[in-house]
Amino acid sequence: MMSVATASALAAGMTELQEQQRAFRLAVVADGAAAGLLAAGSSDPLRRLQIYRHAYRSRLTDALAANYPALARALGDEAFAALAAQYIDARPSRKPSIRWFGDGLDDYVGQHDVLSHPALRDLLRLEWAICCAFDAADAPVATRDELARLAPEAWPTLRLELHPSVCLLDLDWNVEPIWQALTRDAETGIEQALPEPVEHRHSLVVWREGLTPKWRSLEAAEAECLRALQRGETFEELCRSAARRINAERAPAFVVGWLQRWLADGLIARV
Amino acid sequence: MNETSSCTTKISGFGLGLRTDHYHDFVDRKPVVDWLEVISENYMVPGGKPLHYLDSIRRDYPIVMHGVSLSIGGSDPLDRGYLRELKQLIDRVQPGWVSDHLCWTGVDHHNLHDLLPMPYTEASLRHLTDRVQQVQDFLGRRILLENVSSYVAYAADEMSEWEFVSELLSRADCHLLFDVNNVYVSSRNHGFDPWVYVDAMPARRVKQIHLAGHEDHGDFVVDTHDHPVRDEVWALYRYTIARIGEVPTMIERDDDIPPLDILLAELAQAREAAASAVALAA
Ligand SMILES: [Fe+2]
Repeated sequence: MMSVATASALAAGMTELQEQQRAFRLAVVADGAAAGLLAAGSSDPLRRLQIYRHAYRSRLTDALAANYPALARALGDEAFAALAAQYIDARPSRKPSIRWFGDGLDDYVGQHDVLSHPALRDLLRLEWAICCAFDAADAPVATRDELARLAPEAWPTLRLELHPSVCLLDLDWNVEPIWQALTRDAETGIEQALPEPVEHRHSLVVWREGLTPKWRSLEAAEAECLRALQRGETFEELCRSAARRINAERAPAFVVGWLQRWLADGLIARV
Repeated sequence: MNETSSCTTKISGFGLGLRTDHYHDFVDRKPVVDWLEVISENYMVPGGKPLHYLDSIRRDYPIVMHGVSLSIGGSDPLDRGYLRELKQLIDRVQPGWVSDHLCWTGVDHHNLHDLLPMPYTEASLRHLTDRVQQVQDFLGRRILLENVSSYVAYAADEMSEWEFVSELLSRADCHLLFDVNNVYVSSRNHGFDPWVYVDAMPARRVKQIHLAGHEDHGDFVVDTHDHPVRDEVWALYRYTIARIGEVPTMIERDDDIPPLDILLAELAQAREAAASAVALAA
């Protein structure tokens, strides 16, 4: 057991350390004066603090650009750096790993009018979903053969589950061609004129196939069916809700068609 | 302390930091490197590519884990969630050892993602000793802490960095990851004699050495890890090995990452430097 004297010495030292670290933090992130904190030493400590200030901003800006490469390209270095600077101050990193820096960007741009075009918000939402699919949990995927082996009476009550990497997005803009053009530019190093954003409400599914994130735009009926599956509805319920959107007789055939595609793409986790 | 977890992965010789640029080299070519160091946080993710390559490369190479987010010197409480995730990764990787930095990375739950220097005070020593013991108890193994490079010093400092480091190692009963480049960088920034620093290190606690490049701005030096190891650092490395004997050594390269063969050639240079230092000391 620690003695009372040791414990209180530890607590006093801790308060002192905490004050030093708070002053240091302010000096780095908010250009705080840090009066009395640093030793005068052989050179100007304020100039030396610049090294930490610069490192802080450039490291987080790079981390944000790594998570949003297409957004960074679309905005260009200067505008992206300006957005990053605002975001860094507004949403300090709270996670141990820098990998998650930028997890609040969608929310941030939703609250602040900082993007030059509303389609850019959809673009960054697509990028974050891709980023999450990249290292989402692993899980075996269901195959067509496995489902084919199910007894016919098992189908109506069957509840399928999505692979952990699957993310469904509702978008207001047709950003897919813009993402493709920006991604192609990054690969070829040649910058081309971006397609004009077109307003188009639709859904999109992002997932990981093997080690590679993928996405596909969805028609409304297929998106609705995939959402119902995500909510845990049975196969029978999926068919029933599809029937409300499409011709009742043809609905099961549609659902089976979509399911085949989902299985082929690896969207469904092993039953 | 008692080592409760099995430390069967033997590490010796010369290693490299595993970087994504070189995944395919290690999987396909299996170049001769005695061991690899991975950044723990890069693999503290749910799944996908990072863990896929980690598992695959682990089958062919012994690995040590190197963290950047423990914030052992921080004044916020230790992050238990982080420690649990770290332990899970340890179970997966079975590393030769686990290291982090003798620094703090944030305060009031704001992570600056930087390796910030400690005030070299008695209060810091007490704080660190307590926390190192908590971490070692939780992980069931001794950890290695790395000396960081720094650009400023605190007005409150009560001792030199080398006195602080060696005192902590003995009080907390932990090991040292000795970064020779960081000693050089800090010695230039604070105007101390790096040889004196090396002399003060307790040889039996030095379990790993880092070598890296830096950027020389004349009146200050920045630890950039984007250049080859400089001559002054090679000299300090030879002196270190002559004094404490051979220690597993690796080269860190984090920026302007060259093809693997260039790093392998630089690592061969480290082998030669160590061999010549050992011969000279004999
Ligand atoms: Fe290092």
